[in-house]
Amino acid sequence: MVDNKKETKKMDRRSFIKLASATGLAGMVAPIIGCGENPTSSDESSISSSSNNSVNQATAQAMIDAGIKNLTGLNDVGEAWKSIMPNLSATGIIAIKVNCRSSSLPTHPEVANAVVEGLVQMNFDGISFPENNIHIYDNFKAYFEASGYTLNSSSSGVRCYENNSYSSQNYSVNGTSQNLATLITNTADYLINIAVLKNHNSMAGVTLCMKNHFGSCASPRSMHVNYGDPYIGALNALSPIKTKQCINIIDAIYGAAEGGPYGGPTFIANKILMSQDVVAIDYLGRKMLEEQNSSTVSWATYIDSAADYGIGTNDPTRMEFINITNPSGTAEITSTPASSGITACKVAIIEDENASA
Amino acid sequence: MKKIGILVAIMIICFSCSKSSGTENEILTIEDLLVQNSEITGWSYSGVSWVASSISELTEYINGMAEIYQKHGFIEGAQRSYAGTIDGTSCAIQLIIYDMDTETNAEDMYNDPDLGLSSATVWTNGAGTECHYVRYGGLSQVMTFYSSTYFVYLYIDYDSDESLNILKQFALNVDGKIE
Repeated sequence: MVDNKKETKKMDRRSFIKLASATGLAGMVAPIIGCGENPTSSDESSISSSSNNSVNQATAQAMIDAGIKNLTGLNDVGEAWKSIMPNLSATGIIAIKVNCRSSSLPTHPEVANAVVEGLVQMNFDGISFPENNIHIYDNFKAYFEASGYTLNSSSSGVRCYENNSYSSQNYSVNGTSQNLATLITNTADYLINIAVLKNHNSMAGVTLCMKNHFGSCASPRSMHVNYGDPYIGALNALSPIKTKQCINIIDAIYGAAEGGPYGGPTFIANKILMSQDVVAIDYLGRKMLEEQNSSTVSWATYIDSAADYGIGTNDPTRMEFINITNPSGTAEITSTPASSGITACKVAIIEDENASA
Repeated sequence: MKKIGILVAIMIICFSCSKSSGTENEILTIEDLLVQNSEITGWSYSGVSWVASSISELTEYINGMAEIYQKHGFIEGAQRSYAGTIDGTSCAIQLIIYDMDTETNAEDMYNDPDLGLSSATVWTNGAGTECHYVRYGGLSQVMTFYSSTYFVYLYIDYDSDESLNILKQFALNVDGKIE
């Protein structure tokens, strides 16, 4: 998926994907999805319009790998990923929902690529998980491309495409009728959610993992009331999402404390959050934005309501925190048990100052 | 002969009227108000562009943010994205122009705290009736202004004095067309 012509374009502070031989990272496979400069939605310029909030691919890889290993307690990346998808086979399908609603601050392709790199290390009786069985999706093609992703719907390579197919089944979400992407309802065996750390100035207060699924349904606008409370939680409690979503990730290398969801980054956090608990991870994302004095976090009561749907916990005393710093160098790992003595979930907070290139 | 002369005179008068009325009645579309390709040296079209003539269309493009614009009487909008270079770094600019139907609506849009620009710095005697901007510590800048019935939003993924200067050029370009 990497376009070598684009790789030889001028180097600047943007993070370009480098082949393993150039970086000296022996054993790291060539990037699977295109990053850095990419075709734009118009043909009038060959220069990408993606943002300057660049990410170091190697560091993102180290962060994701450290996160999944420490969350699962397994030292092999492939085995760690496999352990959270117990019924997956070599013919299974994994869908990855990214958030490219704003090309100024999207789920960075480098972070998605790091997840993909881990997934293809899963081994099924000698067969590596096929990259073509990985479907990265969002729902607006132009922004997807402008965010640095290379779209691919072919039978080879990681699939990366705009979803515009919805199931005919109507799901009730707190009184609204929603049709979910057929990728979730029919096709995928497992779902990975990779959101961005952003506030939401016009409605929800924050837009994190749970809100990411507004891009998985056909009529999200009908849920844009009461700051999305309790619609966002109710949406994530729908069976196809709740049962298939095996892990949630917040790309918090950059964040937007104001101007979201459409604006660009307003601060650098150099973090990635990972958890199987979608409420817990959104709780922490909201907390990070609150620490940046975001003016809209108080609107995001949907996170607390979501806990009532049995999809996770908003109680920090029941969260075990795994703090990982500097995974691209000499990693320091500390685990803080749930202060209440009752562990409802684990959350990995991975920080590396080399993440923002 | 006299009749022919009168006829010619009438024809000349009619031609002059139609020519002048054609110039006076020239109406710019919202797309015409956008900075055109390379109109500002070094900045060419690149990336996402759209025109929205309804809230439904606007929602398709900016999702939940459309709610704010609907609240303030949105009629139509258009976006263009541009690529250029500052300090040797490739940069991107987004320009969005919204027709808010009335000048009061445009002003209300500009002052809406839900845009998250309450701490913005006013650009005195800048573009539009009023203009302000926010600089996000080395990362990006946002500038907005209102003029006539239009609310204009500008974003650049870089933060320096030079990038602010570029945004100002864009703003003045659009404002000039609105006027």
